[in-house]
Amino acid sequence: MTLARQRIALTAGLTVLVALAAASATTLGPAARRMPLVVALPTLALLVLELTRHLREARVEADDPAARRVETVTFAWLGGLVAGVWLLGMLAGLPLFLGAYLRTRSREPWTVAIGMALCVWVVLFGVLDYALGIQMHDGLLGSLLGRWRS
Amino acid sequence: MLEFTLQAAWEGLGLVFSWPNILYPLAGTLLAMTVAFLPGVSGVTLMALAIPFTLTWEPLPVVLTFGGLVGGATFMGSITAILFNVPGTGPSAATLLDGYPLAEQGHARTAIGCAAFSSALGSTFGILVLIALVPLMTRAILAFGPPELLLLLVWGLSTIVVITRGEVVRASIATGLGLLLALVGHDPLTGELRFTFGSLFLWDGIGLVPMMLGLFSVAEMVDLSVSGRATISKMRGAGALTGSVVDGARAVFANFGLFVRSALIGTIVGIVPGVGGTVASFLAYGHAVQTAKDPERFGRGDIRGVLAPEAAHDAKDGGALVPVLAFGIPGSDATAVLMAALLLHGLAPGRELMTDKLPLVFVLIWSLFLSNWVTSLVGVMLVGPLARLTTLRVRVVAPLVFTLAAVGAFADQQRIGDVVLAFGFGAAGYYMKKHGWPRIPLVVALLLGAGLERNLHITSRLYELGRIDLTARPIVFGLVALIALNLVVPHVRARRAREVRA
Repeated sequence: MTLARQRIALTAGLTVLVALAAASATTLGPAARRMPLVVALPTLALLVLELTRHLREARVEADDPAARRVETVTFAWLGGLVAGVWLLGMLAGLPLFLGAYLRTRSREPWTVAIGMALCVWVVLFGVLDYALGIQMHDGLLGSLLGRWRS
Repeated sequence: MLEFTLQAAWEGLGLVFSWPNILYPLAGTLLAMTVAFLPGVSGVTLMALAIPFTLTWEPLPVVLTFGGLVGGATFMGSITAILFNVPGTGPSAATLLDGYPLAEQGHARTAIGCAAFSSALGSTFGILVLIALVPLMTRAILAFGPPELLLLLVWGLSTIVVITRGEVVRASIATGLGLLLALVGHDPLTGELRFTFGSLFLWDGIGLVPMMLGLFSVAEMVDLSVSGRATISKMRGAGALTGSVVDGARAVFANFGLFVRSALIGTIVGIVPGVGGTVASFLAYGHAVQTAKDPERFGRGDIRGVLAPEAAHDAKDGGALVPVLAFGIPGSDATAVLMAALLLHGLAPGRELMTDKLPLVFVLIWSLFLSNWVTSLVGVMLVGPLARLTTLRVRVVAPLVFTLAAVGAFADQQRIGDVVLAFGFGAAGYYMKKHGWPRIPLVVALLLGAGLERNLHITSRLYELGRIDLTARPIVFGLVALIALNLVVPHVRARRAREVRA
């Protein structure tokens, strides 16, 4: 996708979102819809203006394929992070993500990868979970395991 | 009255700077500074956690400790803004506009030094003005009703839109989007659910912490990874870093007029309840841009862009205590927790506290003052190692920041949905940056949206009931004029610049 197309897609996506918000606001009561409509309608008008400007610009800017590949891979890793936390929980998912990223993507030595993952685990478990009493998310597998044990 | 106030200020000063009393604000400050580096654990969280431990204490040590806790966490937000483009707090979002470009150019030491001196001197200025104005303060606060607060917030937002260089339409759209995001959840007046789309998670609205972490930390690290840059600072190695703390301090004195005006803006905004440091910082930044002879330098690493918001942010702290202590109106989460701590120790805000117990009020103000100076001095002492952080390799820093962003997003309200939200905002922030959309108006609008709606509701209801006469409120006219100026001045300037070029 060229940069111009990406720009159009971004603005069009925002326009659709704000239009949906404005439409959804009309279903609210008179007091609750006042502020949403006061904000959504001018924002929608400005978005349409911006979208028209983008469509009129006939710029063809080539996107750098190498940069696009890095972009895709980075977002895939972030998707992995979210999935890992959801599935394995914070205490296992986050150190695992950090160690794996440092070792495979950043090509850091094993010692650095394992050392930093361990440090993160100590902060998560020792400081946040144990000392400050912030209950860490167990993850889907953790909850299933807990239910199976009980 | 002034003599009585000065006597109370002197007594308060003696109580703070005596042994062992001074240990309480010092310990509070250092604790708050340390905790401010933990992801997702804000100064407010720390204050709330501290309340149960102080229940058996006498009121004086409680006031001393909480003064230190309030002041300690604020400056660290500016450090992360300068070094990593991550505003630790709402007000430090204004500091990153020029602070981060300075760090990128290898001037992190100068930027941190300037921020430290500007904030410490700003806090001193705010407190001195406060002592002089305490007798008039109550009258000033009562002059600000819902219409004035509404317009003050609109003025703040219009300033943010105007200072976004050459991107007024996009900044307006981003402001609109931020305000719409602020409306997600319950309507404050009717309790109706808005934009929740059947999701229980959205009932409480969009959290500021996941949004800021996503839009700035995650997006910035994705951008750095994609750009292929080796370090945050474009210089390779700590030896290539230029600038010094002395240069930063010199910048404050070289622009002393701007410093005084910014601190004055902060003090005035601080006195008005419910507005907060974000508006103060952005108004001061906007003022710096609008009064500069070379406004085009802002946003590209101009030291005045660090000086002005830092001075305003810390100058407002003293003034912000007055509405809490005089009327029990907390203007922020931190002052709300502070009020709760005071109430638990029998210190009820109101006339008694502002007269018979005025020395105790000054104990709070002086410990806040001490905390601001200690924070700045520690910040200056750590400037070398902190500046070196910008020379760490992106391939090591990026995954660490992604991990800490996930922890921070979760720790704030302990909801796994916030982690998803943070990375969603991360993708949005990356594409916004890539295509030249400003991110700051989005965050500030989310921050101010609730106050704006509340005051709009109250103002329109009062107007419908015939309880207020807007024509008899001079501050309303003054604020309308300022908003109009905000909208007109950039066009006049642009036109003049075009004429000069022609």
